[in-house]
Amino acid sequence: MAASLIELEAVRKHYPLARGRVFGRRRGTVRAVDGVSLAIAPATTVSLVGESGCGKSTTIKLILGIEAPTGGRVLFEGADIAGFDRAAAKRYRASVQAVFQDPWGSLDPRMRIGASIGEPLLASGNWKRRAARERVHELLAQVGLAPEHADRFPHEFSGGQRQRIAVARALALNPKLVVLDEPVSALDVSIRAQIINLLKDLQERHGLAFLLVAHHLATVWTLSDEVAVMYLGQIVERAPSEEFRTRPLHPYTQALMAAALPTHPHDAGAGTPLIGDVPSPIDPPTGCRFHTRCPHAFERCAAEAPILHEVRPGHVAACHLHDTNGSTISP
Amino acid sequence: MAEPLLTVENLRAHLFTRYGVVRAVDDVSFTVARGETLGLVGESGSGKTMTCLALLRLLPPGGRIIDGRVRYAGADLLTKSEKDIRKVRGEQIAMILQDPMTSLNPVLSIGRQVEEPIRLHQRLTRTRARAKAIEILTRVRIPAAEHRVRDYPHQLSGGMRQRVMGAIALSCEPGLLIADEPTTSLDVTIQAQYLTLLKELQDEHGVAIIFVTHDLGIVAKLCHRVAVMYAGKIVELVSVDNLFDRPLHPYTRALLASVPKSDRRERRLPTIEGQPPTLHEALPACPFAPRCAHAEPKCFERAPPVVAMPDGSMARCWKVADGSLTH
Repeated sequence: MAASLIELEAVRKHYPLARGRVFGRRRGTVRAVDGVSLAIAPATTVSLVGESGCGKSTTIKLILGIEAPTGGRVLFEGADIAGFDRAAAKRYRASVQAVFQDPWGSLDPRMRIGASIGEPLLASGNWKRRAARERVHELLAQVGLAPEHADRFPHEFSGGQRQRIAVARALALNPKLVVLDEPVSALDVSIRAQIINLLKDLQERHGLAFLLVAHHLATVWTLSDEVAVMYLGQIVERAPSEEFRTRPLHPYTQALMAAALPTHPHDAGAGTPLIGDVPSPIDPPTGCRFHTRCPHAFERCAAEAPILHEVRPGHVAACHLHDTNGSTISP
Repeated sequence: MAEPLLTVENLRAHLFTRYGVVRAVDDVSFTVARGETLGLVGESGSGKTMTCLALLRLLPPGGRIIDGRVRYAGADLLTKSEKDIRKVRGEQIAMILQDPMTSLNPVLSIGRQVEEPIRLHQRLTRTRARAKAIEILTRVRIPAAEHRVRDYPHQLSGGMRQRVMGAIALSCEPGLLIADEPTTSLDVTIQAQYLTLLKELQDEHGVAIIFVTHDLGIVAKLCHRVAVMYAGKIVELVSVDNLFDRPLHPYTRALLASVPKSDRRERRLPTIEGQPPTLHEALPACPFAPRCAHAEPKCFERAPPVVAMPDGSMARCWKVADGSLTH
């Protein structure tokens, strides 16, 4: 196996709930991310899938260094990012970039887009103005825009073009990993395919690794090498994309896939939708966190948390239905 | 054949803005039968929402209906007095909007908000309206509705809020429900629950639905017929099976091709080059011609004809009229 670019080791992020008047002296903890392990190899795409509140966004924040984990480690090329000195932290921030969902919210409306794209270059301190301008033109060309676009303002661009600008800015400092948080879901249908193709081309050309967060499963299959499903702060299943699509093991994954919209009217109404909402991460259910909504739950599921283990080669799942030895006890 | 519940004929609505006139709805004609779901599909700015707002005469300031006829259950909606059209809204035709967080009033309990249209249109007393509200909330699968009526919107999850919106819309048992992308802000699992619920309610009560969406997956799941809009015009109007199996218009074909299929991992997806037209652009005779792979000079110069196929499908395209597009 190739060495990982980024590795999460049993990472936790718990947010303490402040002592409020309403709750008296009682304090709670939001277990946003609760023991997530994940590795991304260079030049590959790993996708995170799950409902809102499952911890995808917090996981992203931990990788981007916006939040510090309350437990576990985030390793970049084998080194714990918490132990980085100033210079190493700076190199890390250049190596890990992000493209967010909303191309309207992520660009400063009063900045010409050339300045927006060039800002990371100048902020890095390693670029002179003139060289930075040339780099901006080169980046615009890479994402399918023209050099003269550099002098325009964000409102002069359509959603798809703005997302191209956001991609250009993310690439400015030659990152190794780009976090893609719902990169196409805010775009018009006819534009999505353009952006997906652009991302694929750039990945191939620059050997980029992607961490993709998306809820549209067809987009996930199209882009990913590996897929991980999160539920209430934990990864419940992880497998290579094709294996995952054809042989989902965890009942939650199966429910997610059944909820996906059909691509043809003949496939409509195939799956039974999941009932109820995601429980609160403040007080997650005992045992398997999914047992309250799981159609296959039995006694053991409420009592004992299943452990993530390899069910098939390269395919891990945390579910008592797929326990091989039946004797795993959670720590 | 019985008269359709809703008939829209040659509807035109313009928006008069600072930057010029926008032909938001441009010669739109369609019908909706009782108990039928019509999908109104298109990209942002294609005129889907404006068409729906024009039906109820709720266009934003600067918007005006220029021409056309809208008949609902035998009555002409465009010539009604303001007082009479208010009776139609909510009572006979109800609308669900995209964002349940902004369309619910945060300082009123959900019970009050479900009761409001009932009391307004059916003149029931408070107690009876409350009982009816609980009944309707139960019908949209709000658990323990008799307690939940006292809750405020922020106490509900996104999926529940959207079901409350559904309850308000269905409170007066309308004949037609206009749903404007009601599921875009929901998780896939909650979206699936909601769409299933809509389908069940339709089966129980025979309400007709106009479902506005840009998601072809929702169309496949829910709709009987589909109108595809581009730049204010309906470019294709077909049954849902024909849309997916025998699309006519080049725009529809390209749109279907560009959606990633869940059963294959393609190297590259087919794309539609260019951008959807912006509102103030001057458009050629066929607005899709600049992005169309099959466009000819005449597509830019003369308005494409409306082609009616023997199976009831309709498309607005020179190349379909020529018969030069094959499957």
